[in-house]
Amino acid sequence: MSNFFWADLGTTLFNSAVLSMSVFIFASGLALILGILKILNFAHGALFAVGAYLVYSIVEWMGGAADLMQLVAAVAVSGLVLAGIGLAADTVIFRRIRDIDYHYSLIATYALLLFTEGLIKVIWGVDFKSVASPPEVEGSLIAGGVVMPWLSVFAVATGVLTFIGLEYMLNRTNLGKLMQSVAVDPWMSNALGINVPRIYTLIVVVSFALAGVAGGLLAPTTALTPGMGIGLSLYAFGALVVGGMGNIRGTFLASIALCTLDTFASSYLDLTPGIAFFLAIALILTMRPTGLTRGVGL
Amino acid sequence: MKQISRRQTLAGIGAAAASAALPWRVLAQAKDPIRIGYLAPLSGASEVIGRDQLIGAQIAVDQINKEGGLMGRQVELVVRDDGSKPDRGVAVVRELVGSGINLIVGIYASPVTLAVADTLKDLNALLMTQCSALTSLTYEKFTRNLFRPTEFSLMRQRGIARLAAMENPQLKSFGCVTTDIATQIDAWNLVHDGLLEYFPAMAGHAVDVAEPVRMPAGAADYRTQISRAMGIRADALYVGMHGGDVITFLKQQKAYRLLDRFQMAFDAGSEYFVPKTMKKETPKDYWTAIHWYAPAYAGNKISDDLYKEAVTRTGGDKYPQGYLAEAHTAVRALATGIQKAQSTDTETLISAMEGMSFETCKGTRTFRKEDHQADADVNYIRFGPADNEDGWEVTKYQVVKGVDTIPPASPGKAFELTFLAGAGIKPLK
Amino acid sequence: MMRISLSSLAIGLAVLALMLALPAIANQGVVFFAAVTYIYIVFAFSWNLMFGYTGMASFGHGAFFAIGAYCGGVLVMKLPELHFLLVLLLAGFLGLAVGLVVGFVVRKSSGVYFAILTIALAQLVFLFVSSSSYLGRDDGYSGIMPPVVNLGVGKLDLSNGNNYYYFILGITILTTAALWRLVHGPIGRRLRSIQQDSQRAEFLGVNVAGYRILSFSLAGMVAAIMGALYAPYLRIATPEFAYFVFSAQPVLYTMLGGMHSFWGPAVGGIIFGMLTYLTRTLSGFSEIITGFTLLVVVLALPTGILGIRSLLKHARRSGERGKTQ
Repeated sequence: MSNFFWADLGTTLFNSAVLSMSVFIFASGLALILGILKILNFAHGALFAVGAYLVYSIVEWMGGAADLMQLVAAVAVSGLVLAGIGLAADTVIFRRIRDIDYHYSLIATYALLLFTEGLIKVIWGVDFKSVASPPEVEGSLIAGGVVMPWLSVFAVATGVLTFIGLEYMLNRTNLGKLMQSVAVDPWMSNALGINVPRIYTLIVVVSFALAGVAGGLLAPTTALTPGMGIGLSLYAFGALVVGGMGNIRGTFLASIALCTLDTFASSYLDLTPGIAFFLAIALILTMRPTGLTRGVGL
Repeated sequence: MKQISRRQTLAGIGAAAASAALPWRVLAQAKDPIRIGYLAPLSGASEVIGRDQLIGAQIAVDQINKEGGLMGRQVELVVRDDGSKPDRGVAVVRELVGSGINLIVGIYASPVTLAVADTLKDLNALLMTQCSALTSLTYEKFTRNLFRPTEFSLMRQRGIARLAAMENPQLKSFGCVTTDIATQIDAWNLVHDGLLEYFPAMAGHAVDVAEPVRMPAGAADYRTQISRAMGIRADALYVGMHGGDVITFLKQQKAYRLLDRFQMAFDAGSEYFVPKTMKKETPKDYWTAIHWYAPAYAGNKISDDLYKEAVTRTGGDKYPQGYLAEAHTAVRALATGIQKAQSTDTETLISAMEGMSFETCKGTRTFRKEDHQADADVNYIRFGPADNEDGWEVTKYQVVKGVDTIPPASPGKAFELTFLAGAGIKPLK
Repeated sequence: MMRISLSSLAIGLAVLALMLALPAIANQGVVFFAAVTYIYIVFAFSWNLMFGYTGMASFGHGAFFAIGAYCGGVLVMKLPELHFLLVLLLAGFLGLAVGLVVGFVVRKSSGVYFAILTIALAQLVFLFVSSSSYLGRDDGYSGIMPPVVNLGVGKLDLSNGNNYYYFILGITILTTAALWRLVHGPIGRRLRSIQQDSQRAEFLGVNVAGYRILSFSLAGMVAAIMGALYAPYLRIATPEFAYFVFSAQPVLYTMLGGMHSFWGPAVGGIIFGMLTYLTRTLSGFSEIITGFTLLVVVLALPTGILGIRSLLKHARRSGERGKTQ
């Protein structure tokens, strides 16, 4: 096998990893709300966009250019702002749609999506915006003929760290165990004295914050437009559902499996990106209507 | 004709009943204003373009009215948003025609232009387009009721090949990355055809053209395709993208240093979007097309006045979009026609404007009788990052005169890519 | 509820009269917009067949509309000798066929899984038509000429005057009548039982999977017919019909008007149509207004506008019961 083949394979594997982790970072916030509140938050994509736009504004305020530490700080601030928005959204919307038929919650979050996108246009306007990548992460790591942009490596690392962090929190901390029990059996959890509504609120806040952080982290890699979250949304919904209704481990694995399949298909078979992805989802959900992993819970 | 006036009367009664829907009412008086319908994408994906187009059109109308109006009457622009949606565009045009307006200026998105163009004959309306680049509008989809005062895809894209041959005759090979959308695929075929004509003619040698690398439109991640593009061995690169796509692409390719591998890089025409958005991140020595590069026309009174007014009305933007200028042009073209014909009747105007010359911010243009296409200049600019307040600057520009690049007319027939055909190359589909 | 009250009949006749007289009293733009709204409303009726009557919330219904639009457009242009009614039926059958296959695939799926599955499948249709150069890619299949319909007693040229408006009115009324009969008959009752409690229905011997497939395919067929009716009117078919945003439109109409009433989507459609028409000169605010309206409806009025009536009835009844005790 020629060097060219291995480089090609390596490149495709790396690109698969980048896409998988981008989708996973986006989907992780969605997974929390889906797993515990059983609500699919259609508005997540718009919140992601808000996170990106907030980072843009913060960087502009800093003078238009940010180094890595400043960018990370901006992302953190963006996450906090979104957490605050999450608190407001929980009070006004999510609290009311928790116990009603899931159809209504789907429609309510869709309405929130429209509203948030409109708000972005009003606040930031429709011109294209861009966040410059920090100078520390310009350029790439080149190994074995495979070009790996540092920004992308950073994204992959963040995705893996997010997974490890969430897994740790859910399985090793008390708070995490409370969340798991609420996800599996809210009635029993309540009977055992767990403040279920407070957990629900916390989940919404964390989910919104994660959306903001995801948007902020991915902002330097793309042009900012009000509708920038829709593409990743569609991918994330697929990964979530195939991974099993909010199961973090399942979502992680599904993101990797589906994105790798799609990247290989578009690289080697010249398929339009997305076709392999959605075809796989359709096939999987046909054969296993409740997704790949068994059982509810995180 | 009788049908329309009956509708007008009934519409007047209906309008009185549903007055909230029509913000402008026609009162039958002697010196009533000339009402011209104006369509632009004021919402949706192209809102950033439509907004500036509207400003350009309004400037034109205000200037005309200050100089006394047309036929002794003031001109009134009846503005509608087509949202880049064909159904909205058609509904709005029908509404305008129904309320007595037969003259429409505007539209930007090709599907909307196509859908509206198909209805013009039945509605006995006239459409003066603004920046509708779709080649077929004055070729296989030609209709008498449509006039194109601006340059279009055929002129611009083949012009890019001409530009390359003029600027860098030493280039021996070309590569291409293009999005998978209809306009871009057409554009690449045109560039390719142009490369096969202009290099032998102007640089004295033929060029090799590589297989294009195709990108998914609107994707968030071009890395797979950028990786593949790294394998392109060529002297120059054509980036067949515009809008948000090209910005995302340019940002993502930086880490790969893709553009650094080429002596010359140009895209399909993204106005000032790239440098205004990317600022210091702007790629170096990057060519693009723009509908109007004001400094190239310094000394042209219309251009100078337009520039001053545009900067004011866009809140101090020193780099007004070319779309703004061509909207201005479209209104001026129609106004010139009305003045010449001393009438707003559709048929009269069509006859009057065929072969008519009119003054614009890019000089004099003339509508060809055969296909209603005007010989507009094409403007190209090269920019790069700079150590100034903006973060970027224009380092070179080229004006390709319309008379030099306007292709032969063939209304009703598609443009023949004779050079591709001659080389036995099948166009990209 | 087969008995039609006098007030309902009066309202129905008044609306019919208004629709028939519209071209004479309103301008062409309103007429065009109204015809488009009739089509969108029947599209929403077909969606509610799945949702309000069978409990399946599809977010990908636009795919069927797109399939019908492209099928109709291509047939009208490539086989102009075909009678237009036949074109509509053929498009309908294509929708039915696809609906049967997809319905079989999704028959065991419900809830969020079902929603995502429909989104994924619609996205496949969208990607397919966007990448087909024959169908015009993202620019769509354009230049579709409105056909001439042979009605036996004469020919109706749909590109002439208000003929197409009346043709659309006729077809949409016929389709609505057919749907009405369907849901008020035995099939409708079975579907309703599945919507209320699918487990219980299964228990009582209803073939739940079978009826879900039926509901899905019939909805797909009607949506495809509407798409084929629409494409020559607009003279273009675009991939946008298969996109997520367009698929959400029947959802909006139904939620606003009320999912439990047959006429809910119509009420929602009229209100949304008016809102869109009245805000057509404002730009950018339409999303905020739409989103906000929908949010208010879902949070405060989950049964929609037509649900207000039954809420009031319920309140009055329990009030009376309270008094007698």
